[in-house]
Amino acid sequence: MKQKSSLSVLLNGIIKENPVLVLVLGTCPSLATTTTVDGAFGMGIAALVVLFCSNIFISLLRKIIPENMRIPCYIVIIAGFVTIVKMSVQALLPSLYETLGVYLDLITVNCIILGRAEMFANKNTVIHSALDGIGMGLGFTLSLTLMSTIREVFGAASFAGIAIPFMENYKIEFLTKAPGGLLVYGILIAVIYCVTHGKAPIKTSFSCEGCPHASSCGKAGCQKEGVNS
Amino acid sequence: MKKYIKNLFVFVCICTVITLLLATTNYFTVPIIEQNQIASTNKSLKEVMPKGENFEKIDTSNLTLPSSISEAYKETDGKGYVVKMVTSGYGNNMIIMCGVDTEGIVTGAVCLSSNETLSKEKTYGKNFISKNAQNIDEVDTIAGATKTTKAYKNAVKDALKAVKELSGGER
Repeated sequence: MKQKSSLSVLLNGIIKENPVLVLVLGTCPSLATTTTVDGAFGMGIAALVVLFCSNIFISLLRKIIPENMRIPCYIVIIAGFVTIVKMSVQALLPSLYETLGVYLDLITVNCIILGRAEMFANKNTVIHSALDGIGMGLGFTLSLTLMSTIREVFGAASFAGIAIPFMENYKIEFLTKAPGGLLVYGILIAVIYCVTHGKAPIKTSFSCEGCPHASSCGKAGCQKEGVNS
Repeated sequence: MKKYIKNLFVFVCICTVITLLLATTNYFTVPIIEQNQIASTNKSLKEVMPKGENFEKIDTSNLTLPSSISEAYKETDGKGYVVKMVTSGYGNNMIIMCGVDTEGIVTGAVCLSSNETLSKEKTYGKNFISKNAQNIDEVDTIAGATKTTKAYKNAVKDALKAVKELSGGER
């Protein structure tokens, strides 16, 4: 496998392999926490911290963690860091803790974090895993902030809780509801697809290459992709 | 067999390290969280009973109150009572605080913390202001958040029952 430069690992998660808009991971918090900009930004930063810490920890232990015990080990590590972040947010930023509510705990089962642990951190060095965590976390935060800005400004005529008076008569409340969130999400995915000219690396990252059963899978297509990647 | 013991050992070691990290974080954050909770309780007491000045906690262990009641406070100048309740809506542990004056009229209700997904409980309490045991059913539940708002309404009903008991118990 070709060795990537540190900068490309860091930048990978921001557009080329953006976890929300390209890899379509972490959909639940992306729709649920993007009704307000501050909630979405807080969720993004919390996920970034957990991604960064869990990627480093898993990369450090990648040669020790037994192959058939890796998922329970990853879950324990991720859940531990999520609880640390939760306690810290509860102590230092109680208003953000109230805003995020149950979604802060749900970072444990956020598929971006488990996905990067399985796809990247257990195969790469600590430095690259840390940079991947930061890049993916920034990509997640930027996507959530962008989505929430559109939804809050056009749906609630405010930005981070600050009212925008001239938008008051033109707000589209539909955007603050779940269907509006899905619509904004779909439009942003289409925009990113156009920007990347449809060359999003979904096949090489999330098909046979990363599949733990790729070697034993009998599908000819999978074997071909595995060889190509 | 040796492989299983080795796997188990690695897993136990990882759990131990994570537990130590959690214990350290807990050691530093618990005092701050407790201070925040006290400040939040004092702020909420004023919010649900704006005319109240000082509040003292009442020992409710000898009284028969609805099961949702967790704490009760008395306004020291006799302006009314504030009751804290723990109930379950769509999720568990929805904590609500409700103020009731001496005439049995709700002076305010707020949700202190919850695990609900739609956040309707954060603004629903204002609908109960000036309601009493006779007209509380005029407050409608919200479509799409029926379980949350129904639980909230039942909690306020419990608060009215509890205040009746508390004021009766003192006579």
